[in-house]
Amino acid sequence: MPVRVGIPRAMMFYRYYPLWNTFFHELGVEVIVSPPTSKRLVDRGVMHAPEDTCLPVKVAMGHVEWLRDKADFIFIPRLVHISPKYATCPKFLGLPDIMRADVADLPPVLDPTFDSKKESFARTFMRLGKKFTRNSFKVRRAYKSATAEYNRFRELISGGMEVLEAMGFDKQREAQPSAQASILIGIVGRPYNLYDRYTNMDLFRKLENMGAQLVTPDMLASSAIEEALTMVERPPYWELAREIVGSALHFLSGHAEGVIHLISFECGPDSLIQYLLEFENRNLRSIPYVPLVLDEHTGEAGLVTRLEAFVDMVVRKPDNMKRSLKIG
Amino acid sequence: MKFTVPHMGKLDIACKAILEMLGQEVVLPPPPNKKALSLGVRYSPELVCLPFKVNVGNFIEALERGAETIIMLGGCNGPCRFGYYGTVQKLILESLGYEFDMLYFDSPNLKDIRHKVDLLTGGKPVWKVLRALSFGWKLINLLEEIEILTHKARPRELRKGDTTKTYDKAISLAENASSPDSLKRVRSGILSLFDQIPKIQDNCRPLKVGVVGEIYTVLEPFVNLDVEKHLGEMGVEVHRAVWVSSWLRHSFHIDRWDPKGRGAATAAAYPYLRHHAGGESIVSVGATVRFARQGYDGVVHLMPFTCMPEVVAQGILSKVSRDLDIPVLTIILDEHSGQAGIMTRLEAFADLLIRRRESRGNIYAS
Repeated sequence: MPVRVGIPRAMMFYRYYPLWNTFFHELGVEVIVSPPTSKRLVDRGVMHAPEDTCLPVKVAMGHVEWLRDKADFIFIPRLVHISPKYATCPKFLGLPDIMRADVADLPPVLDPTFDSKKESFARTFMRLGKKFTRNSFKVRRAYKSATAEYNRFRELISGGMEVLEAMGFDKQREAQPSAQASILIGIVGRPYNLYDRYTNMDLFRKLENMGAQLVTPDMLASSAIEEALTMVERPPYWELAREIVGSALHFLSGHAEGVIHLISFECGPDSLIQYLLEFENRNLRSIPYVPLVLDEHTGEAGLVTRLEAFVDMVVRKPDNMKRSLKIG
Repeated sequence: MKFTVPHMGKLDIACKAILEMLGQEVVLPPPPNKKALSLGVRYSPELVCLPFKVNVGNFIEALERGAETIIMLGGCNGPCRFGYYGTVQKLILESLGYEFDMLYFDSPNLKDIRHKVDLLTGGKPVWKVLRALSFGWKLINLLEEIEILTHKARPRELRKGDTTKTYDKAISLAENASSPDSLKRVRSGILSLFDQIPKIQDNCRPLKVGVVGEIYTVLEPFVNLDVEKHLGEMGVEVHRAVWVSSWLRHSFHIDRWDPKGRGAATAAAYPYLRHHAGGESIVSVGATVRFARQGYDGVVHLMPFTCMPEVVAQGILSKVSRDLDIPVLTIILDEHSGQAGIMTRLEAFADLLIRRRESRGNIYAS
């Protein structure tokens, strides 16, 4: 029987699953993914988690617990530096340790440290692969096809395909939204807030049904993000915060008609960049920007009211502002 | 140019002394207080951590007093929010209409750093700068020695409040030490002050509690609602795990081979936390492990609400506490924390620790 590795459907799963999955698969390892987030999983996570951590970590705990007796190993990578110059949030640095400490009786945790400041991802994957096979040629080949698969995935989502669909999971959104798209809204946030349909209460579909066409940071070229970041005197040093600030500023400077910023309650970096974006948006005087803070107590009715108000505001924007849009 | 620095424990005293020795004018905000806090809360982002808010309040008060340049300590590249404080605080203060400069020291551009250093030192020769720095360093160490003496004296004082009075006196003595030569004299004066505090019998063995956590909340009594003082007056001997001196030594990477430095905490934390997670999280975990091994009665863990590194530590400390059988009390502080609530929790915690000692049959053993 092949070795089973569990990957929790949480945190950076929403960005790196194709990479991880292909790598393990090529090594002949069976990959088990926890099911989509549900009330039960969130409740279990909340039970184990330290009370003051952010929602994504609580959700991840629920997923890890689900995998506890179904896998031989649980894969919780420690992402220290994704690109050498920029940091990740402290919770990424301690994630495997929090899981080990707070979820009892876990099987061994695979916690490779991805620190591109110290070594390349290729080397980290080599060492990870050696745990399953002694054949380093096989590991190298696995890494090669994993990166190829990951690049293919990035291309698909930058073309507008839904993330989970591009990962090879079932199609989640209806083919045809019930309303005709009439406004263009940028949604920025961390991948695990944007694409976890349970925690964000299916925000994408709700907006589409209100007649919005959506753009996400994943659809932007990184050059566009970097260019927008030059508008800020001192851009943030967190990897994901840079992506959010850059793409939000790109949208705010005339590439969308409204911007929604999804924030999980108690998110450290977002508490500061929310202020930064509000400040910059006041200077730009351009389009509506709304931060939406999510936690496990967020009610669906309240969210819908706010979204409706926001969409109304975007729709009623005076025509002279719409004309200045730089959308092709 | 009038400089100002944010408050963090007694660090401002040392900063002021260094800058004044270099002939600069320094305007310090009043120590953290209710007004500063409410100003900070009003103008800061809602979910940012408490030190940020107190800083903003401090800066507003300093600018009102005529400060022109804010020296932003720290400003590294994360992962904690502290490094990004200055950027957002500058935006906040500017949108309030203040005109000022903010000096950061995280620029990779050497020329830029050189320029800022020149600005701070006022073009004084290197030996004078070094002399000022060494004086500041000695002052920091003296101030920390005063804290340690206070922690030791408080649970043993005969009359409640004597130690606090002595502490205030000692701090103002240190503050007024004007030259490096006078520091020695000041120090011996302070030592004899503490000797004069009337004490209960010599063989008393008070409860020993370690204090760990986020550095600002540990160092700043206004923010932690005098946790150390209250513990001391309940008859608990407090041992701090975080100090300005060790923080500075770590920031400048000169504690690598120091047995009491961060390395020891990192090693002790390894079974529980295998990588630093920003801020003092690894010290919180490592020091708790060490306190447990050294037979301390308990640990108090202080953190601001939403503090990212300490949330990681908090999650792990519950396991350390279970594994090593040491009670850990996590106190989360924000602008709504109240004195009475903290007192109740501390009293209950001290009670628990006394019971534990009693059940082990060695309370006040001579």
